[in-house]
Amino acid sequence: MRILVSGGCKNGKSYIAQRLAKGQAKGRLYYVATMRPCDNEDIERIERHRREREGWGFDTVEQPVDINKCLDSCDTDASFLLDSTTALLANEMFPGSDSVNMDAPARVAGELVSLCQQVRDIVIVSDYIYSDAILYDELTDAYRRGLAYIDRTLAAVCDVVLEVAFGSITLHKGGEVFSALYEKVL
Amino acid sequence: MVLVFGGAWQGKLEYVIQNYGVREDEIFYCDDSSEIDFSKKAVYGLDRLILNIIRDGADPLEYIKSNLDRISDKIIICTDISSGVVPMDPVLRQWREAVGRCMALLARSAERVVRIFCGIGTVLK
Repeated sequence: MRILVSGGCKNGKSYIAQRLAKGQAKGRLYYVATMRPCDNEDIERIERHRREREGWGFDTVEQPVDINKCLDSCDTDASFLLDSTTALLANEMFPGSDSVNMDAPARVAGELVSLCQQVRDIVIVSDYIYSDAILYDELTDAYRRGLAYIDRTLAAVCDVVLEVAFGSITLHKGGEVFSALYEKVL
Repeated sequence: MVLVFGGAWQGKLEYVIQNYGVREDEIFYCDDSSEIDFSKKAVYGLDRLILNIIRDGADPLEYIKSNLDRISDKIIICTDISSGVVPMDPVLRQWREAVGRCMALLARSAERVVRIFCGIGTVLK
């Protein structure tokens, strides 16, 4: 199954996504990490996430850009967890300190759909960053708009779309196919 | 009245066009306006209208209250700006609260309330 998981920051999205990816696994289980560490805080965050995944059976693949290249080193007949579209788009859209790729959202959305079509099972984590009362600058809003475009594109091709709020789930799509997996893992 | 809300860029307008058969020329885009064109079927960007009214020094909740009858047959589309950090700018703070109060009033008056998440609509009322 293809599952999109979104919601606010520190709401338990990654934990639920890990359980779903593990629940879907019949053979190999991959964690596709997209974050490119910028400072010590990021390195510590990555280390913490890595420790949390210990013992779950994930093989970690680092793929901060060109997401489909992760398949070069993976068996496609497997269960994947991609965490997250947010970091992936940031890496693709802002490759250097003063360069911006405005075409990144459309390209990344297409690449993610292609990834979804090539693997047996996948859970993709995104971030819901759309309900604050801030008038953003043009570039930040273009990033937000781009991430929302990726979310909507993925929501259309995914079997299940979930919103996580502090560990609780709202199901926006795929209730029937999801219930069996839900009973198994949650 | 139908109230359609959701975060920024969630596909609210597309949802309304697809589900309510609204044509482009039947949509009022609030943009820089402080008043609704009541001849249109749908009102897009109520959050912007509320900000414009505040910047004019007027009370958006009063404006909505006094025009409830005239919007009773409209589809109102509003961005949910209620779930972020309290803004430093006092105008944006006022905006955030006014949008919340106006949306609560509209949701009470509406026959139907729909929340859009990643392009998917959920009917809440």
